[in-house]
Amino acid sequence: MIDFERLRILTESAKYDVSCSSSGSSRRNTKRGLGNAEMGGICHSFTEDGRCISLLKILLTNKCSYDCQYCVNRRSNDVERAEATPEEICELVMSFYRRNMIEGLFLSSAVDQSPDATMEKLLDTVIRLRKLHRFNGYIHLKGIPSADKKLIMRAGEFVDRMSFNIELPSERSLKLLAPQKSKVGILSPMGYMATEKKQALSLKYNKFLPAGQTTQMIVGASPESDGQIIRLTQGLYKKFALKRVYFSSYVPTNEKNALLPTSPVGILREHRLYQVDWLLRFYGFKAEEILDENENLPEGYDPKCHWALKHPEFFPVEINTAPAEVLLRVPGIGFKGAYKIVNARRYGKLDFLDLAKMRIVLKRAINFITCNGKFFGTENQLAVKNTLLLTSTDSVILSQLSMFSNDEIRQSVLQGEI
Amino acid sequence: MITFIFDGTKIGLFTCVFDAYYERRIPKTITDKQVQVGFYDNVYQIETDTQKAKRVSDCLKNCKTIGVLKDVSLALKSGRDDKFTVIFNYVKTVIDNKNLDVSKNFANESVLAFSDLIKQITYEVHRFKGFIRFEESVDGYYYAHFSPDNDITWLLMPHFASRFSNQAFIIHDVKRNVLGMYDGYNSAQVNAEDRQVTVYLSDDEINFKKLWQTYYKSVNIKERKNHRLMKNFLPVRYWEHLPEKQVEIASF
Ligand code: SF4
Repeated sequence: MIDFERLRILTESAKYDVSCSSSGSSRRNTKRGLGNAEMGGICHSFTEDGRCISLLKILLTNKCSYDCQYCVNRRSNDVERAEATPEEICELVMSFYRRNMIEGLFLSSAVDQSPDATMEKLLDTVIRLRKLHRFNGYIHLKGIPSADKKLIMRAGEFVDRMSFNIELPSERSLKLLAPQKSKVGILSPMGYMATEKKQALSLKYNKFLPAGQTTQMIVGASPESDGQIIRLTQGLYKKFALKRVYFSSYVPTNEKNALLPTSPVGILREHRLYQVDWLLRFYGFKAEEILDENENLPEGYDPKCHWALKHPEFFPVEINTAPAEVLLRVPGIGFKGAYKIVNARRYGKLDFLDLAKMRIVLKRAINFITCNGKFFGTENQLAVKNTLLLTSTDSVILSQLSMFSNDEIRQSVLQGEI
Repeated sequence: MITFIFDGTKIGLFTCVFDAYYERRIPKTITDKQVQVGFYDNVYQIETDTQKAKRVSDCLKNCKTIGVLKDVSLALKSGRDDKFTVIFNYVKTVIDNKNLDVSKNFANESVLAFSDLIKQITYEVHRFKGFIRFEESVDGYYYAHFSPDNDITWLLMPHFASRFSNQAFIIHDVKRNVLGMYDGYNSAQVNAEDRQVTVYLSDDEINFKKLWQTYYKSVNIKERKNHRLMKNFLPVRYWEHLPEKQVEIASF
């Protein structure tokens, strides 16, 4: 069994991959096997910083021959190095899984020697788990850019989800900060896996990457604006049918580097980007509606309010007749609220009192809605803005997300579940 | 204020519904505990009656709102003191609107309260699919103790039985002293009442616990500490049974 020291080193250096989701797959247990995957994902614990622990997130090795400037494991950085064998990883996964500590494994690795050599070892590990240990829990594998296509595609047969991180929001920044990596090395595997998955699905074959692909980018290490970032995000969803795009706000990892900012990006920016991501995926918004190319998201209120303030002509909307997708655009009305309204109004006309009973945040919504034609808000833009600022509860960062009223959804937004 | 006292069973609760309609006496509270009686209170002891209960459940089957019997069984697993009252109010709303599916009329207080009650239970079930922690016993089966707000042991069994289909295990609700057991083939629920449950853990367990604690510590990002958020997701009342939180309890 792996020792505490190596476990510490290999998991400490893996934690900056923010994805922890175990969702999207409903892999079944086999006859003499162990485990299954649950569609919605399960959190087994929460870190001190409030993130969901669902998978054992570990590197095979943190010995790296690359020198990506933003990364703790880069060659030129003086850190403790360690590696584990594929079998050690398997044993650890099995023991944790049997004790219900995890949903499965998130495996990745630094580039030790060559991309192919590293990818081979990763593949070896997942095949062992599935074949030798008959493990049917969740596996997320982080692919090695520029590794051989055959190795990558083979891995897709065994794991639930794969990710290639695009790392930085533009090719220019990638060249500057991760000189050994290339845009093609990252995007081409995403491309051919997306094609393969599409084909597999059309043949009703759901064993190839059942939980699809995700990616991650670091925010705040390079100068791109939020407007650029969300356009890129939208493009990635379209082009590769990604399940999620994750943002990781840059945390300076050690001594000064002229290429990088010295202070960490506020977690609020990352949070605002996740809110936009949510708007793109579920609320029917387009990136172009939310921000201009060179604009950044306001800190004071969430992106939905930002949009609402810019579009007074859209409001007020009538609670009793507006379609669900229109209700969703109202500040203070989220999924849960819209669901309740759409259902409840079938039984009779709703008034403000009914909304209050259903715990719609009237303080936020009041300026954007009518009930049976009645409007109790103010048309004074400045006053509207101020109430939104005042009612924006997430100044205590992330403790209370106004936009996501429900615990589960709030959690999902933060940890990337669903 | 009218109060009904009954035996806490589903049949008893349906008897309460029957009596309420039959006697035209609508209770404000329904409870299975002895209550402090105030000067203006009217307290009725309801005798459980299978016949009366059957008429209520038959009536519910003929109502437009579907799944009420199943939902009531689930709601009875709640650990909340006011659960009987909440269920009663919902059942009454269903019967009063016989020709309407009221289940989604969230502007109705009784419906909303009932839907919240159900959600609390299903949410806790979901949480414990993650928060249950097994330890290996010397006899080779896996044992977990926990202390949920609601009586959810039986609701958790199918999940773990399909996940660990060839691993014998026990989940033990120490608050109610109820055990869910699975032997590799079948599940059973046992009420241990006031008997003490003793389990001898295998020697390796301490090692796994430490590995897990090591992992828990190392995935944390110090710069982003946010205790409020963490406690929101992982309520302090659950910590006692989580090995990764043991270190902290010790240092309290
Ligand atoms: S390849 Fe770059 S990002 Fe990956 S471990 Fe090495 S230095 Fe870090």
